[in-house]
Amino acid sequence: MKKTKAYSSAALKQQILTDAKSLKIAEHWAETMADKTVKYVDDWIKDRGTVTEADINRVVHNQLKELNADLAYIYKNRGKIL
Amino acid sequence: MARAKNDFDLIVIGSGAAGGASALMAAGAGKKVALIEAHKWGGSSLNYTGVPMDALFHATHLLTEAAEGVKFGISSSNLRYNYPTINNWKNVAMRRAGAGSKKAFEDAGITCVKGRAHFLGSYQVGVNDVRLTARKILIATGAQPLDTGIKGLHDVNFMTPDSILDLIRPPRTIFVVGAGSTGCEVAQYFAELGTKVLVAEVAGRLLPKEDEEVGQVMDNCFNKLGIKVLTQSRVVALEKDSVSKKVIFMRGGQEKSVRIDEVILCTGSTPATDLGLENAGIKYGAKGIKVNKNLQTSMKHIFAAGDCIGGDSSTEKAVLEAAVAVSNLVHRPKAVVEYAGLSRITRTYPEVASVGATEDDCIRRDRKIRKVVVPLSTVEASNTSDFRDGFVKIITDRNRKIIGASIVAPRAGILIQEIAMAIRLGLYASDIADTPHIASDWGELIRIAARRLS
Repeated sequence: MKKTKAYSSAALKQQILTDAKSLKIAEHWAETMADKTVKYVDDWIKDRGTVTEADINRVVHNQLKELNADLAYIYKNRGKIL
Repeated sequence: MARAKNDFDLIVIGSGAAGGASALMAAGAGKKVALIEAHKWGGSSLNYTGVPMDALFHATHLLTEAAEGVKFGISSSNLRYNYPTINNWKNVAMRRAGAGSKKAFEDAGITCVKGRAHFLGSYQVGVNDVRLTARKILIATGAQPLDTGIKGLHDVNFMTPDSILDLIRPPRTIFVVGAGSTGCEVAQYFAELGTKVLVAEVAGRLLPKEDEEVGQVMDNCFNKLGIKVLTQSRVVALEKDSVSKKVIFMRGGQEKSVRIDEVILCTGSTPATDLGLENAGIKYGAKGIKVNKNLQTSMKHIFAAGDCIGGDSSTEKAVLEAAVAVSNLVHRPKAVVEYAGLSRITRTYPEVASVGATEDDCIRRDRKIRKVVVPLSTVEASNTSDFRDGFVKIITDRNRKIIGASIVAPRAGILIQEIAMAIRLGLYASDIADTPHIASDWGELIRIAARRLS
C-alpha cells in the first residue's frame, strides 16, 4: 500500500505559484488563480476521506483550464513532462 | 484463511433504486456485500423524487378533483387544505417506505457504510478513512442536478424539486424553469395549492420529449389552472430584487424579466461520475459511465446501473438494470438488459404515460408508421365522469405491430402497461383489438384505438 500524507491547502497553493512562476505568469494573476483553485479543491475534497495525487491534479487542471491553458497543461501532464 | 474485515464479495456504491435492489439481491444470493451511501439511505426515489412527491401529488390532485365535485351535487364551497398536514402525510408515506433507513439492508446482512465513496484502485474503494476491497463492484451513484449556465445562481436562493419537501408553506408566486416531466408535475402541484405559477421551457411545447398532442393537452390543462406557460423561452439570469427574485429570460429574441417569490430549477440531471473513476481505469463521458450490454464497464469486474449510466431517469429503469447487473455479478455475465416495454410517466392530473417510440422518434429515423389518436370523449367513462382532457395514441409499424403509445388520461400509468406488454411480446394491433375490454372503463379506449389500426 502506498504511503498516505495529509492534504494541505497551503502546500497546494505554493505548488501552483511555483508552477506559475516557471511559466512567467504575472505574480498577482498567479496569486488570484492559486486562491481560486485551492478554494475549489478544498470544496471538492471536504467530504472525501482518501484521494490520490492524480485526483488532485485532475481537479486542479479542471479549474485551471478556464483560467490559464498553459498552467492547466502542467497539471494535466504532471509526472509525464520531463 | 480468515477474510480481512474490509474485504467483500461485492461493493455497491449507492443505495437508491439500482444500488439498494442490487445489494439486497446479492446478499440474498449469499454474497458478502458492502453498501456505501453518501446521502440518505434509499436514494432519490425513496427520499426525494418518488415516494414523497407521489404522496404530495396525491393530496393536491384530490383537492382538484374535490373542487370539481359541485357539478355532481357534492358541495365544495368550504374546500380548503392544511399544508402542515399534507407535509405530515408525505412523511408518513416516506417512513412506511423505509426512506432514510438502513434497517432493511442491515437485516439482510449487508454492511452499510455511510460516506462518500472514491475509487483508489480498480479493486479498492475509500470511504472516509476506511479502504474497502472487493472482487466485484457495482456503481449505482445516480444523478445530480445539471449545470444550467444560468447567471446569478450563486447569489440567489433557488429551489430544486428536492427542496419542495422542506417547504413549510407554498409560495405566493413561483417560476418553474423547465417543462419536462418534473417541471410539469411541480408546476401543477403549486397551482393546485393556489400559487401563481409561470413555467418556462426552451422547446416549443410542454413535455418536449413526448409527442405534440401531449403538449397541447397539457397546455389546455395548465391554462385552466391559471398556469402561465412560456414556451421557446430561455432563462438567462437570476437576480435578487429586495425580498423577491427577478428572473431574466429570452423570448422571441427579446430580453424580458419578471419579479417572483421563488424560482425552482427543473432542468434535468446529469450522471454522478465524480468518484475517482480514473483511478480504476473506468471509462466515462458526459452521458455517463460507459457500459456494454451486460452492464460491465471498461473494467470487467466493475458494473454500473441506474442513472449513472445515462438514458432516461426512472426508478423502473434502475430496477430493471439492477436485476441484470446482479445476475451478471453473481453468475457469469450473460444477461442483457431488455428495455422494450419500459414505460415513462408524468404524474400530473391527468397522468401522462408513454412507452416505446414516439412519433417524433419515428420521423427523425425516417421510419414509416401507422398511428391513431382517440380522444377520451369516445368512451363511456368520459361521459360518466365528465372528464375529457386526454387521448390514447398508438403507433404501429407498417405491418401493424405495436411499437409505441402515449396516453393522457386518469390512471394513464396503469393503462399504459397493456401496451408495454404488447410491445415486449411483439403483439399486433389486432391482438389488442380482439381482446375484450371493460366497456365502461378507460381501457376501452385502447381497444378502440387498436381496432382503428387493425
